[in-house]
Amino acid sequence: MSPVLPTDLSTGSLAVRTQGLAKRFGRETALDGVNLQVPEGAVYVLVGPNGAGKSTTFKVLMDLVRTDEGTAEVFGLDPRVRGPEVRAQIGYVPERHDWGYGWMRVGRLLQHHATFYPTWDAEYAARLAEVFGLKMDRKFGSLSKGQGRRVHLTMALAHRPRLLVLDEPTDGLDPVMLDETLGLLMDHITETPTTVVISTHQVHDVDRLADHVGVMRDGKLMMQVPRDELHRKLRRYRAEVPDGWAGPAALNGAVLRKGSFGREIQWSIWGEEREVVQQLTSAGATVRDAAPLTLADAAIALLSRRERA
Amino acid sequence: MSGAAETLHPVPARGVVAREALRAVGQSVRLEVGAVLALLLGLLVLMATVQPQGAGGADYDVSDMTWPVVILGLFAPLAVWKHDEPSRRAYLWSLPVERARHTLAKVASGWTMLMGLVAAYVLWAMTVALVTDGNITINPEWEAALRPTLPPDARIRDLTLSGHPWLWLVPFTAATTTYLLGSILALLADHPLRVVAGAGFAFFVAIGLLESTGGAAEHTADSLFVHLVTNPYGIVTEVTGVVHRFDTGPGVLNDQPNLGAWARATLLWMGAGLAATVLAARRYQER
Repeated sequence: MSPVLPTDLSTGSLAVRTQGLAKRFGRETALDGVNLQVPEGAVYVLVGPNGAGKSTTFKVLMDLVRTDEGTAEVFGLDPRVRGPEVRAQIGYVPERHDWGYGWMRVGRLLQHHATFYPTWDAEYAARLAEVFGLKMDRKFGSLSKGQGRRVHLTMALAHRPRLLVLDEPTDGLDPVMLDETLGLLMDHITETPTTVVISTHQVHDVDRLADHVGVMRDGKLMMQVPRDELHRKLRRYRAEVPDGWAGPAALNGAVLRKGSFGREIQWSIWGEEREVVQQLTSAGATVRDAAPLTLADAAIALLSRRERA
Repeated sequence: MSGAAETLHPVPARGVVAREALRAVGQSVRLEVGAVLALLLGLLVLMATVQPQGAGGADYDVSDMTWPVVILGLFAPLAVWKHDEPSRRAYLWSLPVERARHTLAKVASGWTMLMGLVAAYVLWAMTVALVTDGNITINPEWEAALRPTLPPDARIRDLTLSGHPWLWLVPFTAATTTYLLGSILALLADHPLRVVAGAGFAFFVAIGLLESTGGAAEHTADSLFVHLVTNPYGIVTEVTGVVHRFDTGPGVLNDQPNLGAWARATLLWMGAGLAATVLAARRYQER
């Protein structure tokens, strides 16, 4: 069995494709050979801790950051060459909360933003504003983090972009608004043909949306995979093992996370279930259970793998 | 990879971007514009009520009148770009507009607002002169020189308007030039005020050092200062319309309005300012 985590999604048409993106800020490596592949129509959740390179990757797509190496394409267009056209396809929610003019009132900011998007749907914007409870006469700069986030989401969604690039979109939202927002996003995806890329380090927030998952750490894309494949191949195995059991050598590299309670082990392992069970059994373990992981648990397993490496 | 052009969402039309830039800049600087207009109105009321009748009125020298607008022009870009310093331009740059063009649209919007303010200022000066029974005048020395060429009953106001009507353009061109120079800094620097202060300080320190050394260096310093500031192509000629002459004898004016020199200096400084502004904007060009 192969311990190598999958990083190639290049089947069918891609909304976003980057190849070998590399970026350094002084001595810091922000991106290190990132090959992001987002299929058209996918809801791709990019998971990673703070500083993993998620925001920098998104900025490359918006041509807000120029890479040292590598290329990026959004619907086949190079953001460095055809920036305005690329940005016209994207509804962007940045990581920064002060994105937009703080001196403008919310209504004016939306009006200002709408001017730049000929596809702006005023009726939809009004509906979003109502659902989000936006106070149009408040100055944007005086809003709380959560209120500002809702304005950003309205700005991103109301022109019905072909691609939504959402950088920590749930940051600052209270639980009720988080639920409203996720419901709204799901409605949006149903109503509008859209590809969505969401970055987050709060995976459980977007669990119900994701159909593709990428994991980033230290500027590297460690894995990207369809959700159903992740669900199928990444499992937590509960097994009873003899004293001093070391595990099968063939699983080296596929075991992402280990835990043990006496003679019982709980290992998160990447691979076809049948093969993994066979390997464990032939090494002397008695497999009791093999359960799929939630997205949040999968993210933890994948991210903790590197720490042991 | 999908990329069919017909399915792409369109970018906004240039006219739409230009109009929105004008509107947004107008709104963002409304406090500053309001403050200037309030100041002018306050001064007008003050002068109209305080000026004693028959006291000769308030006279305004057209060439000296340009200095406030020169300062206004220099600092106006700071107001125009106050929410879009280079390090805070993420929102502006994330819009689907070619960045160099968007930058120039904002510069042009700010210039339009500035021209409105300069017009208000000139009107204010004329109004003050009228309500106080004073004159919009030119330098008294010029008057002395030009008076013999005019009918005996000609007023100085007539002198200005009929003799040198182009002087009314000077406040506008002067403000435009300094606005362009200020825009370069605002486009490139997060703290343009510090750059202005630093450059000014460095310039005068350099001149001072060169002059203190004497000999050829002193001559170089004098020459540099004269060429940049007071000669027919200097900034002072551009912003006042006046040429300072050093080779005059007794009874000859030192400072005289000179249309040709002003036009050449304006072409030079405004052209250089415009070219540098375009270059500064092209720094953000995407292609």
